[in-house]
Amino acid sequence: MRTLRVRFAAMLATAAVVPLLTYGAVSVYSLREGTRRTVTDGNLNVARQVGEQIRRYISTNLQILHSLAADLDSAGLSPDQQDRIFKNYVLRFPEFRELTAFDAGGRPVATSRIGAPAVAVPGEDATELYGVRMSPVFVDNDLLPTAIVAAPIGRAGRGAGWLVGEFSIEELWRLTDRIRVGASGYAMVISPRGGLLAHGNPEERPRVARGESLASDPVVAALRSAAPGAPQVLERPGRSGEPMLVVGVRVPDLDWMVLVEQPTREAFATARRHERDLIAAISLALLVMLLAGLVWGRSLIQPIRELIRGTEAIADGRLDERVRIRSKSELGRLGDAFNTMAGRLGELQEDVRKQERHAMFGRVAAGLVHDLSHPFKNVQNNCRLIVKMHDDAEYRELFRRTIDREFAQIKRVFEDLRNIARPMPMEHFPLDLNRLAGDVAESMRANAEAAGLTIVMEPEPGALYVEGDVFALSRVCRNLVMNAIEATAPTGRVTIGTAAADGRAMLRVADTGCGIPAGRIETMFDDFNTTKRQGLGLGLAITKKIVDQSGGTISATSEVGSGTTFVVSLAQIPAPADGLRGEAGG
Amino acid sequence: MDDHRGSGEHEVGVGQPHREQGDSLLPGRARARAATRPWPRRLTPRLVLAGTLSAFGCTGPSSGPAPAAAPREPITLTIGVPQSRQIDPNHGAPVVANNLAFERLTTSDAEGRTQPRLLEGWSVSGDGLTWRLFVRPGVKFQDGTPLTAHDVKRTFDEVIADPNSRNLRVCLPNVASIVAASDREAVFTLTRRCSYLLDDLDRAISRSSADGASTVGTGAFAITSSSDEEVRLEANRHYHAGPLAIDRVVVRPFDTLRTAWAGMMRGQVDFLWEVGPESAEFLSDRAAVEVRSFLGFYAYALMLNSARPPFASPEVRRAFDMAVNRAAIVQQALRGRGVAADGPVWPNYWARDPRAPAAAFDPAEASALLRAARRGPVEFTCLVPANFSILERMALLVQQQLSEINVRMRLELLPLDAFNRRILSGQFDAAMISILGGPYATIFHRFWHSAGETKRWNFWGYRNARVDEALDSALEAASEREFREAIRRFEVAVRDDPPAVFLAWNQTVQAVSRRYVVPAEGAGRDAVYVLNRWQLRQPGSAAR
Repeated sequence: MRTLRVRFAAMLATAAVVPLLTYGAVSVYSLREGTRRTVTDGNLNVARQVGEQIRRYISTNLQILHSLAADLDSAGLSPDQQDRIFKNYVLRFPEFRELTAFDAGGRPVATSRIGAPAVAVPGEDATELYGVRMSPVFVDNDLLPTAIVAAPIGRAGRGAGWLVGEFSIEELWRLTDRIRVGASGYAMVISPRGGLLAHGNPEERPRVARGESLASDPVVAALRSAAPGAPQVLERPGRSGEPMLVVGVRVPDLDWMVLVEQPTREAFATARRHERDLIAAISLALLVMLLAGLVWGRSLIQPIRELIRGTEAIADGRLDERVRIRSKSELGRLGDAFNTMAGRLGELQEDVRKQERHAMFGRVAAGLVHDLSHPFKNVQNNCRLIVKMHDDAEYRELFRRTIDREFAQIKRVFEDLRNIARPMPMEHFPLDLNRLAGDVAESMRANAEAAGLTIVMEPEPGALYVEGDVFALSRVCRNLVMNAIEATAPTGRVTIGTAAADGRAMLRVADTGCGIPAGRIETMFDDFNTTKRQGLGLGLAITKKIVDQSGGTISATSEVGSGTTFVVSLAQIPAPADGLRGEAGG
Repeated sequence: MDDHRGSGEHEVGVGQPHREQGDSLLPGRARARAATRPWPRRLTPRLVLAGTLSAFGCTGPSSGPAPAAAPREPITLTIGVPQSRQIDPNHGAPVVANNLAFERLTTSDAEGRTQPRLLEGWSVSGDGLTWRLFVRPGVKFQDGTPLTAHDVKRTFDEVIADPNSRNLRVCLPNVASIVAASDREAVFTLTRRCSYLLDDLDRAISRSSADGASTVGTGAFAITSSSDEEVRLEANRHYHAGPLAIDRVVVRPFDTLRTAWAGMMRGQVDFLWEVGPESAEFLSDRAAVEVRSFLGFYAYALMLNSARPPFASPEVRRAFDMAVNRAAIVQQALRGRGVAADGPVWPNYWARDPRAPAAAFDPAEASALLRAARRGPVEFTCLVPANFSILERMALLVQQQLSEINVRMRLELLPLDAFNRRILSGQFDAAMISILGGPYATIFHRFWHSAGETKRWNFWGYRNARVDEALDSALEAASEREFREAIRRFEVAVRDDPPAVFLAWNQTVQAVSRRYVVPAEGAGRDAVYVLNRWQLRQPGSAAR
C-alpha cells in the first residue's frame, strides 16, 4: 500500500505539482525581472527628462546672456542706456539678479544694480558652457542656488570686456521639487565635482545648503568614471539605511548629474504585490491540486485497501467477510465481483465440509464396524458355544480368556477414540530407548511370526536415554511395529533399531513391505487417515501426538514396493541417577 | 508678552525702511498703537473689566500652560534672527529679546483693537478727560516686586518730562497729571479729549531691579546676559500668566539667512524669526519645520517729499499713484508674498472701510494727469537704503513703471545712516521705505497729520486739510461710528492727495520647529507675541 501511495504521490508530483511549481518560479522570476526593468527604465527616463530640462534651462539663459553680450558692443549704447537695459532685463528675467558689464580693464561700465556691482568675472574654477563662463553653483545668503556667469562682450571674441550676471538657478530647485517618483522617490542634481546642487526632498535641503559632496556616492562615482550618456543603476542603502534604487544620468553639455533615488520597497512594491498574488494563486492552486489528489487518491486507494483486507480475510478463512466499495467505477465492479467470489467460496467450503463430514462419518463408522465387529463376532460365537459347553471347564477357561481379549480389543478402540479427542496425560521420566525397543520387539515377535515375518533388533550399543512416558513411547513403538507387520508380506522383515547422533536419540522401524506412495506420506499422520482398507486410521495420528507431546519428531521415508522406514527423534539425555528412571528404563 | 518691538528707549528716528512690524528704533520702533476707541459710552466704570477675559495674553494663571507635574530637563528655545534681513543692525535680535522681557500696558487683537495687557481694564469719564487705568493684580516684575500704579505713573512721568519722547505721542502732551490713586489705579487727567491715549501708553513698563544692577520687566522671560553673539533669557518664575513650557530662550543673531537656516537644520535653532519671501518657497513642505506667515503692519512705499517741487503738486503725486502696477510689484519683488497696498491703512484694521475703492492702475490717465500738472518732464531722485534687495528691486520696478509715463526716476543707494540723515533733514525728493500702517490709528496721526508744533514723523512735508480734519475727528470721536467715519474720510483724502505711493504690504514669513506648538491665537501674527504660550509637541502627536 505504501508503494501504491508513493507511486500515486510521485504521479501527482510529476503530472501537476512540479509543472505548477516550475511555472510559478518562472513567472515570479519573469515578473520580478520585468518589473525591475520597467521601474528602472521609468526612473531613468525621469532622470533623463530632468537632465534635459536642466540643460535646456541653463543653456537658454546662458545663450541669452551670450547674445546680449555679443550685441552689447555693436549696439553702440551709452552706459546709461546699457544700465537701463540691464535693469529692465533683471526685472523681466528674475533668473538674473544682477547684470554688470565690465570693460577690458575690469572696470564696471553699466550695471543693473542701483549701487556698486556685486559680481565679478568668475575665476579659475569656472567652466565654459555655450561660450559663457560659469562659476560653480553655490547657495547664496538668501538660500538660493546661484552661479556667476560671464559672457564676452562683442562678437569679435574676448577682449572687449565681460557681461557678468548673477544667475539664480532657483528653477533648478523648483524642477527637482516637482519631481516625485512614487511617494518617496526624489531627484537630485549633482555638480561635476560631486556637490549636491538640488534635492527634491524638502527634508534633505539642508544638505544642499551645506554644500554637501556626493563624490563618494557609488552612483556618482560610477557616473563620473563612465562614458557620457551611460546611465548607472544601483541599489544601495539610503541615509536612513533603507535600501534605495538609485539611477543616475549625466546631463548633456553641463556634465552635471541627475540622480533619482527611490526606496526599493516602494519602487518594487507593485512587483512584489503581483509576486505575492502570483505566489498565493500558485499556492492555492497547489493546495487545491493536492487536496483533489488526496481525495481522488483516497477514492482510488481505499477500494484497493478494502480489496486487500477482504482478500486477507478470505485467506484467513473468513469467507463471510465482504468488501464495501461504493463506486460505480471498475473498482466498484471489482468489489462486487470479489464479494460474489467470496460468497461462492463460502458455499463451496460449506459443501466441502459437508462432504468431509459425510466421508469422515463413513470412515469412522466403517472403522468402528471393522474394529469392533471381529471382537463382537468372537464374543457372539463364544457365547453361543458356552451355552452348549457351559459344563466344560476347559472351555469355560477358554471362553473367559477369549472374552477378556476381545473386550480388551474393544477397550483399545475406545481408548484410541478418546485419545484423539483428548490427549492422554503423560508423565516424563528418563528411560532407556534400547530397552523399550527390545521389550516391544519381544512382545511383538509372536505376532510377526504369525504373519510369517522376522523381527530384527538393531540397538545402539549401551543405554540410550531419553525423557518420556514409558507407556506412551511403548505404544509409539508398538504401533509402528504393528503397522510394519501389517504392511509387510510374509517372509518379509521388520527391523527395529536405535541410534544416537547430535544429541538426539532415534528409534527406527523399517519394513520390507509394499511402501507408501509419496503423496500419502504428508497426510498419513492425520486423524482417521489410513492406507489400510479397514480401520479407524488413528494409529499414526496417536503416534504423532505422543511424539509431539514428548518433544520429539517423527518422519517417514518410503519407497513403493521396497518398504517404509519411520524414525522417531527424541532429545538424548545423560544417564540418570538411580531411582529416577521410568519403568522401561528400569 | 506684549507685541511691542522695542525697549522704548529710542524715540526718535526717520522713515524706517526695515520690514518687520517691530518698532525698535525708528518710526516703527516708536510706533503708535491705535487702540480700540475708548468711547465714553462704552467705557463706563461698569465696563472696566470688559475684554479682560477675552484679551489675548491676558488670561489668568489658570489658563496658562499646565504646570509641570515632575522635574524635567530644562527646555531651551533658540530663536535665530537673520540680521541680514534687518537694515538697522540694532534691530532684530535685541528687539526680539526685549519683546520677551518687557510687557506693555496694552496689546492689540488681530484687527488692531486695543486690548488690556498689564492693565486689567480702564474707564473714561464722560468728558473724556479722566482716564482710570487699573493695573492687573498679581503682576510682578522679574525680581519679584509687584507691578503697581506707581510704576505706571513713574514710567509716564519720565516720558512726559522728556520733550523728545513726549512730542512723538499724540495724547501725552495733553496729559495734565498722572496720579497713583492706589496700588492698582492710575488716573490720567487730560487737558483735551484724546482717544489715542491708550496707544500712547504702549510702552514697556520696567524698573531697576531690587539690587539696582539691571532693568527688569514683567515679561515671560528675563534677560540674563547679552552679547553680540546672543541674548540669553530665563523663564520669569514670577510670571503672572502662570508657568511656562519653555525654561530658557536664546536669541541668536545670524549674519545671513543661510547661516540661520543651516542652524535650524542642525537643530541649533528652533525658531527662525524672519525668512525672506525668496526663500520661503524652499523652506515649505518640511516635516520638521512649520512655515507660518502673517501680514505685517508695514507697507513698502515710495515716499514723496511734498515740500519739494515735483511733489508739491497733488496731481503729480496722484499721477504717480495711478502709474504704479502694484500687482506686478507684489509678484516680481515679493514673489506673491504680499498684498497690494492702496493706502496707508493696514488692510486688516478694524475701522477700515472694506468698500472703499482701491487705487486704480491707469498709466494713461496718470500720464494725462501728469501732462496737465506739469509742462516739462518729471525728474527726481529716489533714495534707496543699501543692502536691502527687496526695496532695491521695488525701486527698479517703480522706476521702470514710471518711465512709462515719461518720468525719470534716478536711484541713489545710500547706507542706512546717510539715508536716515537725508530723510530727517528733508534732503530728498523721494525714498523707498517700509512704513507702519497699523495696528493703531495713532500711526496715521503721527505720519500724516500736518506738522504742527511738533513734527512727529511727518518728514515729508505733507499737508492736507482734509486729512488733518479726518484725523482730528478720529482723535476726538465720541463713538465707534464716528471713528469709522473719520477713518473713511482719512482714506479718501489720502487717496485724493496721496503723500506717497503705497506699494505692498509685506507678508512676513517665520519658521518654527515642529517640536513646538504655536498656540492658535498666534495665527496671523508674530509668533514671538505668544511665546509665553508655546508648548512642546507631545510625542506621537501629528507633526503637520
